[in-house]
Amino acid sequence: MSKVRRHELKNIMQKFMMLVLLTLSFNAIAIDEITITIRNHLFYPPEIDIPEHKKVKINFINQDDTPEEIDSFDLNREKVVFANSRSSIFVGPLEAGRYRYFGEYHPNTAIGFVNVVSTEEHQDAK
Amino acid sequence: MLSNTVVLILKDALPIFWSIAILIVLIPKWQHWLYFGIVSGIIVCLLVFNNIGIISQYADGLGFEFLKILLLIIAYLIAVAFFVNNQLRYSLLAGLLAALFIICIIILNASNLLLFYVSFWRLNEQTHSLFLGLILGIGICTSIATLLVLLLKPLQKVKVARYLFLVFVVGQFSHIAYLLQQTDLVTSQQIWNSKQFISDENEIGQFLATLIGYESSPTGLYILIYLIALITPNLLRLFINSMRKGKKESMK
Repeated sequence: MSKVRRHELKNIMQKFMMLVLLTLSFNAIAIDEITITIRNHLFYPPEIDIPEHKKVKINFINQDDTPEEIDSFDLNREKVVFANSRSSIFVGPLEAGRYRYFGEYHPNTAIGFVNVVSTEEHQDAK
Repeated sequence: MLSNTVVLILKDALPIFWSIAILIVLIPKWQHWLYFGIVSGIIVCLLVFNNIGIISQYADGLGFEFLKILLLIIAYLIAVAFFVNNQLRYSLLAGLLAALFIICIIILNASNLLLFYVSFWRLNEQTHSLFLGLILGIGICTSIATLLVLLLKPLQKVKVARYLFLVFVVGQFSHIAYLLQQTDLVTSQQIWNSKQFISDENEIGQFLATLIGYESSPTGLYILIYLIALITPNLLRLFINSMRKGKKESMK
């Protein structure tokens, strides 16, 4: 491998690692919380709005006698909520958009959406 | 209910069958560890399942996530050992490590499935569909695993099996990123979205997710862990091989 080519490759690798590391952060900022109830294998409310580029804690309260596994390919999250108990997951920071999640044990009924909106839109909605 | 059961079994049981198939190709005396690994895995999984409530309550409700992280680390280290050391597969230790790996992978993948089955069985909800789904799902997983063994074992494709094993485990191991993110230990943003090409919701996406850890919208942390976990054993292998070569040449 020539010296110039090796240098180019090193530059590309450095830029890539910078990009990856920039997306990482370890934080302890105050976080918004939203509660979703699971009842009769349905999510209440079925849609929630969260601000973009912010981390949010979602609490799931399962009122059913069966467990539910919250799954989302859009959000890359998977968490079991036991029968008659509660569980939490953190989502974000996310780009504006509509993110689907579902109950893996009842995928036909337990469907919900996380709408990520701009901070202004989120403030207006509040 | 039937299709949902089959999908769940494929998602949770395929990694177990796939890894067992690769280990059968990789380790010559596979009969010794296989039954021990499967039986121990099922027993430990039942124990974990019985105490899943207690485990989950640890560390502010993050106990099960931490257990998963620990099991993923153990599974990864075993895969690295098999990848780096060519001779390991002939040793007695290979059987023990393979059995330990099977135990880890069964707990990681079968505990949620067990929860689903036990909960619905207790309620007597559509037990017929649950049973049929189990038979169909296990049948598909067994077919895929058998096909892999039949393709690789007679041809002695150990090198292929070794790489398949590493890529599979790296894919599983990288999920540590999402476990850390969903428990708020680390924050990381999505880097790209290839959902329009291969969505992880369809069959191909699910299959690729199991075999190589494919994600249509990975975060920076996921990519970082994936690359480090994939590159490190390769570098380690290169280093060990060059050391051995150097030793042989100096002996001459």
